[in-house]
Amino acid sequence: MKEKLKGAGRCIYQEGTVYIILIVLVVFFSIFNPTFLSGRNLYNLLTQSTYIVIAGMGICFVMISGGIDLSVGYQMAVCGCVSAIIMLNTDLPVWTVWPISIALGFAMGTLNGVIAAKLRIFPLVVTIATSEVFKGIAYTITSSKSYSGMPDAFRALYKTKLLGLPLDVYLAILVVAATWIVLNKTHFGRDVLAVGGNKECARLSGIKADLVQTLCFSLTGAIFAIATIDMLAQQNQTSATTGPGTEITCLTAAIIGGISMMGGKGNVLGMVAGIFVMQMIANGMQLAGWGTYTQYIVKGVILLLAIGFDAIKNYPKPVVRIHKDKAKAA
Amino acid sequence: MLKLEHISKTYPGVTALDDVSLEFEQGEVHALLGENGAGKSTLIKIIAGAIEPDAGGVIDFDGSRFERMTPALSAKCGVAVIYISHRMDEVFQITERISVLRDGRLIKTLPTASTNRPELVSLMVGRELTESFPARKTKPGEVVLEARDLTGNSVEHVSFKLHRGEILGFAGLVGSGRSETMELVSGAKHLEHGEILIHGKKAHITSPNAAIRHGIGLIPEDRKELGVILHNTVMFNTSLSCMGKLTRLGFINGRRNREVAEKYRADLSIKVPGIKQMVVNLSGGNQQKVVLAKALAADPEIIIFDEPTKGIDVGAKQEIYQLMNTLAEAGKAIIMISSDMEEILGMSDRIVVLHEGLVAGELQRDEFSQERVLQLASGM
Repeated sequence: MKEKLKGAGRCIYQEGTVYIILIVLVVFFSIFNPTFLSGRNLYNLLTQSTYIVIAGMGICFVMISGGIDLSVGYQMAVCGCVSAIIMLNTDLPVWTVWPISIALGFAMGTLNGVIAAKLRIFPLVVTIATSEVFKGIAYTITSSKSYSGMPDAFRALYKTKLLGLPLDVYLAILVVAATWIVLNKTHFGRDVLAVGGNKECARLSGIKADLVQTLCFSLTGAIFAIATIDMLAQQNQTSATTGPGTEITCLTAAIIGGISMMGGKGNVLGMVAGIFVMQMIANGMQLAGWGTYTQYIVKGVILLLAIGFDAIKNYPKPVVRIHKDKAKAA
Repeated sequence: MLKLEHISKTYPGVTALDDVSLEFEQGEVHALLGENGAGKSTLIKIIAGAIEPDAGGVIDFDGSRFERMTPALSAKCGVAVIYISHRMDEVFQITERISVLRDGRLIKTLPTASTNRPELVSLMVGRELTESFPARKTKPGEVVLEARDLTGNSVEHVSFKLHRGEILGFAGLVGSGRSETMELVSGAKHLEHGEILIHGKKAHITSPNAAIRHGIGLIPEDRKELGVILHNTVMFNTSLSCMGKLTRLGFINGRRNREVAEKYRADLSIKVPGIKQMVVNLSGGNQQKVVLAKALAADPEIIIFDEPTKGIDVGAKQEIYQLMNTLAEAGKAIIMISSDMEEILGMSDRIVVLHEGLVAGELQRDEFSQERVLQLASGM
């Protein structure tokens, strides 16, 4: 019995930390703020989180394959602005923003992936650089203007309700389900986990590792494009500064949710829980009346804590240290 | 000066140490021998204070008695040297006394001068090892693979033929180009010049993926870095090179995946509580068997073993030798790179010796001797 408990304890330590944090946060916020658990607030929490949940699925692919993508924030800016311009300034039908935006996201991701995989440059460095490029593109195409007043047909994604919930909630569920299935049940998902676990071993085992790594960046871009469309439908306005910041939320949520910075580990449901942890903290801080800047500080600290915990959990330091001076003294 | 009395340690499902009593004397070099999983590391960790023994045992250190050690306490005890190794030569050169552990129990403590290798090996494995290199019942058949003038990756003009049912040894000093040659054959590195023929037909091996499709399997030397994905399961690792057989329209057939993993777990007798166990938790020999399982699951005709028994214990070594023989008898063509002279002489049908990236010579079974191999390997 004791052994079983120990095993369960280890399992929770490895996989379940995020759910415990989630429960603790719910209890904490509901004690300090009675409105936290109100139906209205929970509804807001859910509906405002949809695009971040979708974005989180995007970051899953690149992170599980052992990479990282810091350019996704400005990818969102580019996709959002291009979508707004299509709808407001051209005669193209509204539905075309979907394929165009997704193709654009896919292309931006592929660019990151090809540079990282073929030129063997650290994804962190590659995506810091491409992030600047995408930022420049977003400002150029918008001339630093912001766009608002999207067509109703486009906003229907958020405005139309099914069983009391906006359509995009179902879209998010669909994206989560698809990501889970791809990662856990398909050949491609297995390759992604293998490449993230040990790229050279994966390559020697016959997996086309460079291709898999590149496709992960592409998928991340494509899924972020979907997240951007959802964000635009919700917020009804966009500019070159709309989107950036999401990458930090997603990154933190991923690490809290059990996706290691080192890759090779994937827990899609943990990721979703991680996003709700982040959203709840943001929501709680808003209810408590904390300003945006304070929230930045808190988010940064949480990211640091999560990275530290990830490092300790996955790469524990050796327990035994040899104290040479002490040994001599003895 | 350091005395262990009735030390036991159990982990969930495993008895790592079972009532071990052992004495270390001041200033002695004491070897702890045993197969992987015998309990050597657990014992050392207890002495170092890194882990706590189960209740009931006593550690006596210079007359002070403790229920457990702490790292600070053990640091004071830097006088006796406790030596763990799989290398028997070193054990005989360095140590004064030897304690042999098996399955968590202390089998015997004996002075190094009064024992010999065969005795230690039989104490470690618990049975007499009569013949380390069992003979094969079959003779090599037709040529399966022919390498012509392989150049690139710091080897030059390497040519050789490999037959069905044969174990072809590759000897040479470290850096002589053995692994580098096999990296070319297995598609891991780019071939600049030369060609590889499989069953007489030219094979374009441009990647490990292409090599596997041509029926070439590689067991790399660095098993932890290149052979397995440590932080994933036995089942996951077994599936990596044979995904095509486990999937339909891109979806994994979970049952088929489990069946394949269970089959190789049984065939190779991988000692593991279950196929969902993380590879990082296995002993070196069992990790090597997982690498082998992964390669075999792709059903290769040609298998390249690069230092297949490096760092694994005597019992597992025997099993690997048996497996290689079984594979050769079943008609597989095997290449074995080894720096272990006994192993290469004992296992090979022929030996190709490399020196500085070139073939220095080829030895037939009746020409085998340690001197000949060394002469060729050192360029004489």
